[in-house]
Amino acid sequence: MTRRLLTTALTTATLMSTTLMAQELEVKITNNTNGIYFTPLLVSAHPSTTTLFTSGVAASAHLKAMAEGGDVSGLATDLGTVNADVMTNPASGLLAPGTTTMTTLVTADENTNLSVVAMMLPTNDGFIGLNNWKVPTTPGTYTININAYDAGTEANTELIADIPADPGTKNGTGATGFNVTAEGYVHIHRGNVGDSDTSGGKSDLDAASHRWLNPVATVSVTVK
Amino acid sequence: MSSALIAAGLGFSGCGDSEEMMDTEVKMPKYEISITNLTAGQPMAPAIVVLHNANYMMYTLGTSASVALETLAEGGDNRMLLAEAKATTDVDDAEGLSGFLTPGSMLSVTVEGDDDYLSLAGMLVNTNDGFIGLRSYHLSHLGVGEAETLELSTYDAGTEANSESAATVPAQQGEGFNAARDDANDKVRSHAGVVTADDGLSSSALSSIHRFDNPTAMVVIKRMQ
Repeated sequence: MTRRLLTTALTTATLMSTTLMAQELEVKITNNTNGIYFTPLLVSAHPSTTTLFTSGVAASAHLKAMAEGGDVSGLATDLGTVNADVMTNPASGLLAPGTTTMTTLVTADENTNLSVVAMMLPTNDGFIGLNNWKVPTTPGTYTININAYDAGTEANTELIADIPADPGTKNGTGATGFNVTAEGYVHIHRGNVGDSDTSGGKSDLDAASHRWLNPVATVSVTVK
Repeated sequence: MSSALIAAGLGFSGCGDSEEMMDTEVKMPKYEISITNLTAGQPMAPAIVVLHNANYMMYTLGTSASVALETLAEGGDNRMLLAEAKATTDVDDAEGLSGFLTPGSMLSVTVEGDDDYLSLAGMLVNTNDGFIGLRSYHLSHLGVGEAETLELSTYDAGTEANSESAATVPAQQGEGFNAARDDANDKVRSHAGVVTADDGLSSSALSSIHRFDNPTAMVVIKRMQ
């Protein structure tokens, strides 16, 4: 890094507007929801040409694994192949509603864009997504509102048998579930419906605990 | 717009050298507007995209919708808004998308002119009078070749009660435009979302797939020239 900085200093005059620089980033992620937990987060700085997902397009197998089961290992492997800077599981487990976690990334020159993803529990295939956000080069703190996406890979039945867990244990059982199919493309999540019946009804989710509106998370990035 | 074209035309005729012509040609700003439907189950009727000056207002939050906006929001019909926009000198260009924007799909349209405000609207057809909207977004910071991505919210035209009944929702074989304004609050505002029969509104023709949260659309604005 010292050598890079030296090189940068020598060429600053000519490259002021276009140079890429290694950056130290402090990334804070807050869960803004009432009763939704985030599975272990994936935080990554990567080249602008890399993207974890595209709205309107079918999810990759590794995005599906994250969105349906909280497994970010496949996405981390994908990012490794493009020499991205990757931090997984900064919260050492679930990120509970109303809580914040923080991590630091020292990014390589080429890794100019930031992405953050994690599954939302309890949902069928909902996830929070900061997608390919261009990190400013000017030092300072930047706050971004994060939306909930639906991976489109699994029908939103809202049956607890189709969902890994409700960490807050507000779910019911015995529902009929919604008669829907997987949408087939990544999009903004329409939200959980839920109901107030813990032993039947249409949904095993709880309407009072498991709903949300965007933004579901806040990411605060400090560029050192 | 016409005066700029004439000026460019004079420039051409007075200049014999083609290289010089290229140098002096002033190109009219041109923008490619690409809209992606981000919903699970809300097709959007052909949206209207308008390039205009600061005087044109497609709609104003907290005030009554025009009949043209009502027509678009209740029935998905953009023709009156298009005709009105094209008839005013406050608008340089007004275009309709080539068709319906099905969930997850994207369509693009190009608008051209010196005016640098952009507005657009398109109905969510599984609602009574809901529409995606962008109002008077200033484009002056966009350089040639630059692009910007915006996320759009959903608005309620305030012109029709949100009964969600089959008889009143176009995509459920219901009626479109009706001149009667039976919404208790005749004002354009943020849409509160649909309730649906799955959430206990038994008279609703809608189900869980029709629910939505903002943003419901993504717009990429690219300045081409």
